[in-house]
Amino acid sequence: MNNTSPFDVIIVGSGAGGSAAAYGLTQAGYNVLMLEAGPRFNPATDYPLSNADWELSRFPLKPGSQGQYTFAPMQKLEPRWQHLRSKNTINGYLSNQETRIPSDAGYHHVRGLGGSTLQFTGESHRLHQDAMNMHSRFNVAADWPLSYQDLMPYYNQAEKLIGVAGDTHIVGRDYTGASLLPPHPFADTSRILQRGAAKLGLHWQANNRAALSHSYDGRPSCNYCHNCNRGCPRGDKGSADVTFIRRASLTNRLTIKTDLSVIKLENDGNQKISGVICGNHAGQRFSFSAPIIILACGAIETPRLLLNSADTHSPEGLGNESGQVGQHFMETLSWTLTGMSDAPLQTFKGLPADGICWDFNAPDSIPNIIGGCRFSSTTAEADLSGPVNYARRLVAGWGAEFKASMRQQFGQAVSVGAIGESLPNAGSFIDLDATTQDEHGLALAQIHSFLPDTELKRLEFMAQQCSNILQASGITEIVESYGSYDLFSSTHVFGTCRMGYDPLTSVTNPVGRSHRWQNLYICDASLFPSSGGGESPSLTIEALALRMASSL
Amino acid sequence: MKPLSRRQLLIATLYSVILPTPPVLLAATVRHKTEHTFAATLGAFVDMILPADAFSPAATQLGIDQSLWQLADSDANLNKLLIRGCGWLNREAFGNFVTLPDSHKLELLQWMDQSASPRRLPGLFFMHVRYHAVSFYYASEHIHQTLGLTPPQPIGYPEIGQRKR
Repeated sequence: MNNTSPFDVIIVGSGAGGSAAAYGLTQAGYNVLMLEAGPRFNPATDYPLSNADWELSRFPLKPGSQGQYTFAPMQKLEPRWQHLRSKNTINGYLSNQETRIPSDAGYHHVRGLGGSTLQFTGESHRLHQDAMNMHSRFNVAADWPLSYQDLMPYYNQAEKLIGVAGDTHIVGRDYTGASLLPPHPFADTSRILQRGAAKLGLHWQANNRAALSHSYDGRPSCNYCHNCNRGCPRGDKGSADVTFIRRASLTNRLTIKTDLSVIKLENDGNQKISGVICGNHAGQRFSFSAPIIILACGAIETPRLLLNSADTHSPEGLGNESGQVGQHFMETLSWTLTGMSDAPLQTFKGLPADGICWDFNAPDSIPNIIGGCRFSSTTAEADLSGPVNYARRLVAGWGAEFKASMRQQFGQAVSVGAIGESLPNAGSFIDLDATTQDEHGLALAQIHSFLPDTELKRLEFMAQQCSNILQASGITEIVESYGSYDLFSSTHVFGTCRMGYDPLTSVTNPVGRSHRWQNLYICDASLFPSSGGGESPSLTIEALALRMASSL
Repeated sequence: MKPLSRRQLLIATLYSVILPTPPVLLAATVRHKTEHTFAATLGAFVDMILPADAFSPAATQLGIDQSLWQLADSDANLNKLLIRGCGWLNREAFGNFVTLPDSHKLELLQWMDQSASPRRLPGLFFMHVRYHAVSFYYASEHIHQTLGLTPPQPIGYPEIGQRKR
């Protein structure tokens, strides 16, 4: 390592946190090197939504676009929670195992320039203010070492840059100074659910979405193709590649290197990280140095990198002096319920997750349960955007009768979903799998996940409310339920490098700087002391990154 | 523990029990010959699942059976399942499933769908062939036309944007 690096800052990872940090820092005049383990995706050519067989795959895979990790054995399923098992019309129970298992990849993410924002739905949520003080109010999780008011200007900045469309009247949030695009019109699913929610006295409102309701910033408006999760070929979805990274690149202060994994952080034995060691798929090694190092690899890979960087100066892993790295893992606690409407609908059209109910989002809003949740239209996230998945999962049978049913029922599936607070517990954490290494010989992260009864009671409430909403919407034929009890399936993961004031209970300070390593920062959801009541985290990650960048 | 999908899990669990690997099937040339033998059987089977009607063609008219064999070329477990399943169908038909009267084919499929254990060959074969056959069938441009569908892009569904909030 030397002092002649042309870079002021190295950012590891290019998702919501890394990209927003790069934007903030390049705007402030810093020269930034962004290191991304995955490839670049070209929206125009890599997202094949114009092909006839578009539905046979979800977000495209490229070499290196999926991280590797393993799962520790998960909890045994119990008869008393049988009603929370996932099932559908065709297959019955979706898992025939006696224990909870990962569903497909389990941790749904993208390695690539833009990170998981490439495949995200694009919900742009601010945290409920009350969800930031879970420890002082309820003696669970930890308090955020900053207030909503501290984050608010950065929320405003991120929303404006992305072009968030939506509503500024949301319970538990102050939108003073915000400038959102007009909300999108409701597609069929939300129209149905809005009526049902109203019958229950619930408020179904426009969801705040990183999708343009009119052309903005040189990007076109959304054309409502329903497939945000397969990648947006138009660039109207506010993924990091077309927003923060594009803007940062315009400064000519951002250097991007893709397909390059950071495999170790090196330190000077005292208080500084001296540089990073990288490896590519060909086995070559590279080193880079800069005065400031920022990790933005997400709540699985950031702790993994810190733990894999252990050396004689930091034998338990960098920043892990108090054993906090990898602890407090929080996952996506979710439930999706799908029913088949009798009415002729076209629920495969429109913006995914266009409507939302925040009524149970506050941490004390569910009776006798700590931690909130939210409900939204999820027909797209349930991957019911085309006939293939109807035939695979929802419409039973075969022969002429089956084909007739397909013609009649296609477009009539209505899904309502819930995501809830995920509270940390001693059984949920990330550590290194001593038996499995990646191509660079480094131990993989191992995911340990446990759902105690307190979590399952919240999930049970979510499931019951989804059922109530569908029933009130006039939908009585339930064709699929899918939830976290028997299947680990997380897009949002949090908490494994918690921020706080106390080095004994946290990894970084309130800005995201390591308590010990004075030039090492973290800006991803591993910082979160609590998960929020079902809010999607990307906007908060971006706000935290912009705040951190402004502090340097 | 590596993440497994339900489908992978079923295959991993069940194949070793009910479909022990016959070494002879590992040879590509033999596989090709066997596929040829069972091509008509699989075609007749998928046409029972997806028959022609007044609106759309049968599965084999769209080459769905060929798509299944192509998929099996890169999936040894599926290849074994197709071969074993077609063999089972022919045995049940006392020689050739293709020539079985339609009423008997219907009875057989009804049993496979509703009564056969998904942990045994007939149920497993039915479940997997149905899954892949309907996937290829409803991913075909021809069927999309009969449903009035176009791919989501590049047009999208701009009529949604015309709705009032």
